[in-house]
Formats: sequence, C-alpha cells, structure tokens
Amino acid sequence: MNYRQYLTRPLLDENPITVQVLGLCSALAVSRSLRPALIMAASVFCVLVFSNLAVSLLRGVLPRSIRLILEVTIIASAVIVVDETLKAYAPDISQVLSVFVGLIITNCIVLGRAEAFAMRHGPLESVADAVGNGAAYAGILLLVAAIRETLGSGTLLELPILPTTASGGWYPPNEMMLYAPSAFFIIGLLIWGVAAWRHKANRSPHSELETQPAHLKYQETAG
Amino acid sequence: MATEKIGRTLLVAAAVALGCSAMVSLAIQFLRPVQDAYAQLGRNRAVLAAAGELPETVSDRMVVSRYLDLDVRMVDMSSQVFVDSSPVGDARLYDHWALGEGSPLLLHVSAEATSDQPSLLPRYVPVYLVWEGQTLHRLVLPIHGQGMWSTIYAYLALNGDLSTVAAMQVYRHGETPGIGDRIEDPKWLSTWIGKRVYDDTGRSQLHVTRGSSDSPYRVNLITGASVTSEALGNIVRFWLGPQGYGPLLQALRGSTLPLNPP
Repeated sequence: MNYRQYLTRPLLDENPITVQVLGLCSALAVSRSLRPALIMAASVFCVLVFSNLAVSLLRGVLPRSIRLILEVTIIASAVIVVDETLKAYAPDISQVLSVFVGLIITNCIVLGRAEAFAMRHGPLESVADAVGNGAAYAGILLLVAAIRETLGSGTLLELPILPTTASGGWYPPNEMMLYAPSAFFIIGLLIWGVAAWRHKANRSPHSELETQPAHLKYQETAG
Repeated sequence: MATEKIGRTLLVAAAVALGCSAMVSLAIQFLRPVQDAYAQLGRNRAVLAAAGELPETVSDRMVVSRYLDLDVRMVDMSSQVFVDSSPVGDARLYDHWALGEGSPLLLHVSAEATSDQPSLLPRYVPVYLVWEGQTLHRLVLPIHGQGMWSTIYAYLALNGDLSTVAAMQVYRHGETPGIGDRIEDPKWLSTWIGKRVYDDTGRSQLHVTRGSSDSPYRVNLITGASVTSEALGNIVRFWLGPQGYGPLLQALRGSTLPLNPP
C-alpha cells in the first residue's frame, strides 16, 4: 500500500469506529455538543500521531516481552501533556471533558494502531496511518456531535440553527439527544449504514473480495 | 527474533520511562504559569459572583478590574479582627488556600465535635465587602473543608445583616464528576439564598438535610450527591462557628467593631 491508502483506508473501509467498533466510550461521552467534541478529536489526533511515531521509531529496540507496557507508557505521557495543555489554554472545555481526556490512554484506537501498525512499519507510514485513523475518529465524533447538538439544543457551536420553542421559535428540542443513549442510536445507525454500503460494494462484480487485513485480528472491541 | 537479555530489557524500560517523564515534566514546567493565571482568574470570577458583581457576559479583563475594585479586608483568624497590614502583602492578591503544609502562616485550632473539619486554618484570610452607599450590602467569606473525596473551596456571601445568606458559590473541588459536582449547580446554590445562618441564641445552625427545606435553617440536600452536599453544610456551619468567622461577625453585628466604607 502507498501512503495515500494509509491515509484514506481508515476513513471508510477500515474506519476505527464504524467498522472496527473501537473508541466508543469517548465517542458516546463527549459527543453532546460540537465544541468539546472538536477539542477531544484534536486531542486524540495528536496523541495518535505522537504515539505512532514514537513507537515506530523505537520498534527496533522495544523488547517484545514488555512492549505493551512501554507503548502504554508513551501513550500515557502524551495524554498527560495534552491534558495539561488543555488545562492551560482551554480550561472551560477541559472541565467539560473532565476525565475523558485522561481516558484517551485507554482508547483502543491509540494502542491498537501502535501495536498493530507502528510496531511493523516505518515512521512515515506510521504517521500517515495515525493521521488517517485520527481523521476517521474525528469525522465520526464530529458527525455524531453535530447531529446531537443540532437536534438536542437547536444550536451548532452554540450558534442557533433551529429556533427553539423556548426562545420563541418552532423547534421543540429533542432532550433525548442530550443523553448518552442517543449517541448509541446514532453510532448504531452509522455502523449499519456503513456495513450495508460495504456489503453492496463487495457484491458488485468489479470489486475485489474483501479480506480483513491480518493486523486487525489483534484488536479488541472493548474500548 | 533473538532471545532477549534481561539487562537490555531493563535498560530500554528505564530509558523509555526517563524520556517520557522528562517530556511530561518539561511540558508541565512550561504550562504552569498559564494555568496559574487561569486559576487566579477563576478565583476572581467566583468572588465576584458571590459578591453579586458578575454580569452574565464579561471579558476576562473586566473580571480582573472589577475584582481589584472590591473592598478587601484581611482577617486575622487568631484575634478575629480586621488588620490593616499583614506579613502576607496585598490582600487582593493573597491566596490563603495556596499555603503549603507546615507554613508558619497556618493556625492550629482545637478540633472539637467537628472532627472532619480542618484543624489547621490560615492565619490571614481575605474577605470582601460590597457597599451600597454607606451601608454594608454583602460580605463575601472564603470557606473550605472536607467534601466526600476532596477539599471543597467556596465563597459564602452574607447580606448586610450578617445573618442571612446572599449567595453561595463553589469555587473548586475534586468531587465525582457528574455526581458530587452537582454542588456547582446554580439552581441548587440559589436555594441557599435567604437562609438564616444563626439561631436566636447566636449558634451557627445552617444544615443541609433531607426534606423540609421550608425551615430557614435548612437547605435541601442533592439526591444522589447527599454526602457532598451535606459536607458543604458542615463546612458553612464550621466557618460561621466559634473557630471560624463567628466572633468576628458577632462583633460586627453588635457594632463593637467599627466598620466603615473605604
């Protein structure tokens, strides 16, 4: 595969959320409105790029027996730096995100990419892979957050989109969208949609037979 | 893959740990001043909110200038009087909550029945006075104490009569996100307004309890965050009691301590 594929494959075909079903906790928890979701997506993106690059550079020297511990150490350090930066420059949003920035450490996408990709590829390829996966995570998170904020509060980035009945408009906000279950529904529909689309694409005679890349087998669906 | 030598494994582990900790410490070192500035701004905001001087939309610059305009007095907790000069410098900038353990500016108080309350109090505490012409409109008192998991820091504003609550503002705490942090909820904090803090005999009597919020000495606790909200009641009762601001407020109410606008 060339770099372009590393960048684009995660966006749809190997999307970490809708196809691999990873990183769901944060996608559910911080997708209530767009602004914190933007910061969260940027944080995960930075951590992902840093950890993939660092692990890829160190892949020759990391002892196999303790590689997971060292990968987590590197990820955790990056997360602390991101968390402290947010506390300094975006204290309000940092408070909204509360524990979820710290929980990026346990985001399966980050460890998954480090272990499954960066351990076997060079630094440039690993960064391309991290950028692709980070963008894919961000895309889904922002999409869910945009849907939830629009339908739940009638706003987008706190700017009124649908005039709510409370402020004299016609739109009665859907309060369910403000709670975590609504993210389940939206992500569920997205997973269904993407799966249906892939299924259809795979049945067309021109597409190659879809085979799961071997490295996906290492990933768990717990995070 | 070659078999791994223990020595090399340990060496790599140590090197990675060292590199990571260096990165984290450097980042924190650089970010600390910015974080401190924001913390100071947050404190100014909380004081202004308790003083009733915080408009809904206000720039950071305005917060600072309005804060600096407040009438700040330093209370000597050992003698319970206002002092004009103290060894801690400008009362407006002094943060008595930032004192480290073992600081000579901490005061031992005899812990009585309220054993969960601090036995070490800052010797000098800044309080904020809001004037309306020649009469005292509000008195903002910093309070702190043990919550469920963490120390809760808050500002309690009393009305000019020095016996009813004008506002309650939680400044900082480490209670459970989503549960204990509901003590920040403005709706709940507004139920404090108008409550009486002293009974007829002058005892500090405000409680946070279940039910019966009709009583002037009772604030309804938060369902699901009962321990944290009750703790806030204990903190208020302690700080308005004999070891806190009790004697000072009594002297001010009885006019044995003169109080004049600046």
